[in-house]
Parts: sequence; structure tokens; C-alpha cells
Amino acid sequence: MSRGLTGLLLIPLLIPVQAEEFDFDISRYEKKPFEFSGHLEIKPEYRYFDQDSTLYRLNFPTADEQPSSDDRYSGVPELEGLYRSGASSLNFHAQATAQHDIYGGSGNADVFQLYYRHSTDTLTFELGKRALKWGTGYAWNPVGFIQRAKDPSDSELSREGFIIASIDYVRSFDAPLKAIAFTPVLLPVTHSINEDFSPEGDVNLAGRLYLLYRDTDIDLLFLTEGSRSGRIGLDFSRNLATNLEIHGELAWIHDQARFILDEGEAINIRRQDSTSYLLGIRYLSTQDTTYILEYYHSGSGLSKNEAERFFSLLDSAESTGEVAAFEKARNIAGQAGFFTPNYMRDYIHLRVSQKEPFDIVYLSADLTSIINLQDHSYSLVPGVNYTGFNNIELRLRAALNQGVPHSEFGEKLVENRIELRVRYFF
Amino acid sequence: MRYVFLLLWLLLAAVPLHAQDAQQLLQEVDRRLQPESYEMYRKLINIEPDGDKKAFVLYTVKKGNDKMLALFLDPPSEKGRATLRLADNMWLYIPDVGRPLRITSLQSVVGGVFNNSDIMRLDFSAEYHAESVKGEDGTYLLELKAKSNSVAYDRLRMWVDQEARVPIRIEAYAASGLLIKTLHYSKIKDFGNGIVRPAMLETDSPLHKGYKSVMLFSGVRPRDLSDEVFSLSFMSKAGELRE
Repeated sequence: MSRGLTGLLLIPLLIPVQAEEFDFDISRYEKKPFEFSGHLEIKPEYRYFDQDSTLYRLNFPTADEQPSSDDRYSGVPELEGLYRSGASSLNFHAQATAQHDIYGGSGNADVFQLYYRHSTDTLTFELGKRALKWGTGYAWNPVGFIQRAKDPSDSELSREGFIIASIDYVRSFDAPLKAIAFTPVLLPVTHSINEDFSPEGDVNLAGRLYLLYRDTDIDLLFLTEGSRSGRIGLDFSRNLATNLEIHGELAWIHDQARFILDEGEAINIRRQDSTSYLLGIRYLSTQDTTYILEYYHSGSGLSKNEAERFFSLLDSAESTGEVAAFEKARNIAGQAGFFTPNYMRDYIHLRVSQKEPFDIVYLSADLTSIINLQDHSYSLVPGVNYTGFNNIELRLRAALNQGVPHSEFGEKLVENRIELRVRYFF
Repeated sequence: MRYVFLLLWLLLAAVPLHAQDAQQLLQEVDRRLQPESYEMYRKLINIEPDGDKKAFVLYTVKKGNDKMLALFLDPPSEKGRATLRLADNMWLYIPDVGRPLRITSLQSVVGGVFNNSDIMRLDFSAEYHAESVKGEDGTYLLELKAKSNSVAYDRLRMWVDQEARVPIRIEAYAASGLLIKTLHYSKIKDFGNGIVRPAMLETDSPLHKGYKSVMLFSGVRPRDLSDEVFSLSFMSKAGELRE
């Protein structure tokens, strides 16, 4: 039978529901020597300060300037690109930030990544500034031995890398061990290279061995003794069901320095082995709601008593009424990492996100919470995201920090915050 | 003469076929749609009730029965996102996150009527048992049942062009019997290398009333690929596979 006759018979089935012509020219998607992309971001924020908090008093120590809120505006261009030739490429990723808030205007520009890559199917060599991301946790990565800490409340933000040389060798098998990859990394530290990794100069060796064994991702990781204490780690991830994933990380750090404030309000460096771990699940409900729940224990985090001593130090310095005493106390606490996010030991991270609530396509709603299990303070971040406009992403978020006095989230500078982030992609 | 052929064709259509024939037909449909190992470009267009459109472009490579890697090339907000599937294991790579995250196989990657199982679908015969087939109005009607609950649709009713041996319409049902979506294949085209298949797939769903999705196929061709291309290490450089 002729194709024409068959086609005639099938006309009722072949005609689209609504006849319309669409074009698809793949030539613009073929590989080219240069690629360039990025986004522009503007983010107005309204911040309501907690005027009773320790961090408020640290930021506004003098009585003549005691604002209750401020408006902050920021603009961020972020650019990525590459030049390729054969199996080699030169890749870059840079970000600039301009910001205006109660302190005035400020700005900075950073090259997050700039590296040469040569790769085949099984082997990849990279040299330059590179942001490697290790670990299976969403909010925290205790096995992220050579990466900068992420913001647990916004874990998908891009981060700056370190200057490294690395090789990645991968092999696949038709066996219970389906894949194996080994990634040794050299990370030098001098007074001008990777100086923010550690003040101790050295050539550091780190590595990761990845296994896909019986449908489970397993990583074995290490960082040798050098600029930082030696450490080893393990992580895993596995689907227990079609809608349930479990993941975890375990890190052991040898002879890690901890900054402890003694009774005499002097800072002591105590060296001891520490173990950190994380256990999490990701669950997808039949209503398309995704739940991510993680428990994190930081072996080097402060106990409740240790944190209380820092608050007492700042309170007593403030009570003297002398700015110099206050500054000194602030520097001590800052050196000890007291102002970094999640400086204590035990946390819960919960994120609930709903795809297309009220059947609105391209809309998602989410709620993220981080709970400090020691002092029971918490942050609550509800948000909505809309991607329905071509090349534009809108995100509206609020944030609420709650806790009793001398608790982590109860002493934050900002008590409530609302922000609108608009990103234009190109 | 044409009417004799038509009569023979109608008689042939009325003959019932067995499950074994159904499975063979399903495998033939798979091979007509795409080679066992291939590369292709796809454009997904979500059309909203008011006519607004949003398009996604994907570059996809597949090897054997259980390996697939898909990379978003457009729109710019999705560019560089890659999804890897190894049998029932699935990972999502987002450039800003910088590492592959294991996702559940039912997780959706883009909004709209299309979901992950449409984008990362392996061969029909790898995911479904063909239970029966019968002739119907110039087509074969295949009744398919999912091999496992990791497949998004429990049952498929697939109408196959009797001559071209490619699907022209598929109805996808949940285990409850609810019709989730209907897929309409059209515009049969010769892609070269003996691949003659529909170049367009339209989808509508009673769950997304008024919304419609269109998938356009281009650059479908056989491609020999190493197993290592389908690894977590390769996800960040999937774009290098394009020629």
C-alpha cells in the first residue's frame, strides 16, 4: 500500500489538536568555539532589625545611630563562558556585586572560576581556579574538604573556587560495581595563592574515590595534613523507592583547632580530633511536594555553654561603655568564628517545596527552616518562585529569625526580612 | 488495484495478534523511532491557554537499554542543566550547584505538561510489557503495562501506524485508570541512516486543561558512545559531545 493512502486513512489521527507550525533550527545549538552566558540580578530587600540582639549592638554600638530597619538594594551581573579547541577548553565564571544599604554603597568583583580543561571520555585534567563540590548533603557538606562553606538557607548560590590541579579518571563496568572514578587534587597555599584557604603555606593533596555499587553512590574522600588538619570522609546516596532518596556524610578530622573561651575570657586554641556527620532524606509525595530533611552534627561546633561565654564576653564589654573594649571583644569572637553561620553543634534542616501550587504552571512555593537543636532557636524562610516569563526568574522570599536571648537565631541582626530577586538570563 | 490493497489491508487489520507478536511489534516500534544508541536534539514547547509559549531545547544521547544523558541548551536559565539516567538511577546536575544530585525517578525537571519520564524515557520495550495487540482502523492498538512502579504511567494504549510501524497516538493511564495525558505523533520524516519517524509529538492532559506541549525532533542519528559518557563525571561536560 502506498504511503499516501495510509496517510490519507490516518488523517484524523495525524492532524494535531490545533494545527500550528513550529520551527526548530538546530544549527544555533551546535558546538561553537566560544560560548557565553550569564544573568543580571537585582534584589531589593527590606530588613527589620532586632534592636535587642547582640549583633545589633555590635553593628550599631553608638546611641546616636539606632535604626530599626533599612532598605538594601543589590545588583549582580554573573558571567560564564568558555573557549574550546579540540578536547581542550578555557573556562571562566565571574561575578560582580554592587550594593547600597544603611552603611552606604559598596561593591566587589570576583573571579569564581578560571581554569584550563583537557578531557577525553575517561580522563579529565583541570588546572586553574576551580570550585569543586563534594558531598551529598543539601544544606551542609562536612566532607567538602576543599570548598567554601555554603549558605544553608540558599544552598544553590554559586561559590568561589580555589586554585588547583586535578585529574579525574572514570571507568564503567557491566557488573554490580557499575562505575568507579578517582579524582586526586593538588591545592597549593602560599602568601599569594589560596591564602584564604589557610594561613599555613603548603602543597595540599586531596582526593575522592567514587563508586556506583549496586545502585548506591559512595564517595571516599581525604585531605592530607598540611595547611589544614588531615581528614578523611565518606558519603553515600541511594534511592530506597522511586520517590524516596537517602543520603549521608561522615567526616573525621585529626587534631582540629577549636577556639574556646575560658573562664578568664581569654581565647584558647584546643586541638582535638572531631567527627562531623549528616543524614538526610528527600521524599516526593503524590501531590508533587518535595520534602528534604537533614540532621547535621558539627564535631567542631560550640556547645551551649561555650556559646554562652561568647555572649557574656560581648555583654560585659558593652557594659563598660567603652568602644575599645567592645571592639576587642568583637575581634575575639570574630577570630573564633562566632559570627559564621551555624557555629554550634546540632542542627535540623527542613525544606518543603510544592511544584505548581493551585495548578499555576512555572510557579513553585517553598518553606525552608534551620533549627538549632541546642538552643531551640530557628530560622523560617518561606518563598515563591516563578519562571513563566521567558528568560526571567522571579523569587519572593521572607525570612524570620526567632529564639530566646543568647541563642543563635535570637541574636541575629535581622529579625525579619523580605526580598524580591529578579534575574534576567542571557 | 488501490481498492484491492485497501481491502487486504482492512482484512489484515482485523486479525488479532498474540502477546508475543505484541512484544515483537513494540520492539520494532522502538527501533523505528530511534537506533539503540543515538544522539538527537529536541525542542519542547509549552503552550499556555492564552497562547503564550515557553521553549526548552535538549541535546540527548542514549546507549543500550538503560543509559541516557540529556543536556539543556535553551532557555538560558536552564542552560547546562543535565540529567543522567542509568536504569532506575537518576541524577540532576545544575551548574550553580556544581555537583550531580541524585533525584527520585519521578522528579520533574521542567514545568508544564512534560515530565521527567517523557524527557528521559528509555525504549518502550525496556519499560513496558506488551500484553496484547489488535488491528483497529488502519492501526495496531498495543496494550502496554509498566514493568515496575518506577515508570510514571502504569498503562499505555499505543496506536501504531501499520505501515510505518511508528506510534501515532498514545494514551497514558495511572494505576487508578485515570487518563493522565494523550500523546499525538505526527510529521513522519526521513532523518537519514534509515530512520523514518515522526518529527513532532503533541501532548495534552486533562490534568492541565487548556495547556498543550509540543516536542520537535531533529538531528536523530546513530552514535557510538563509550559507557563512561554516562557517568557523573561527564555531566558537567555533556555539551562537548555535540559535533
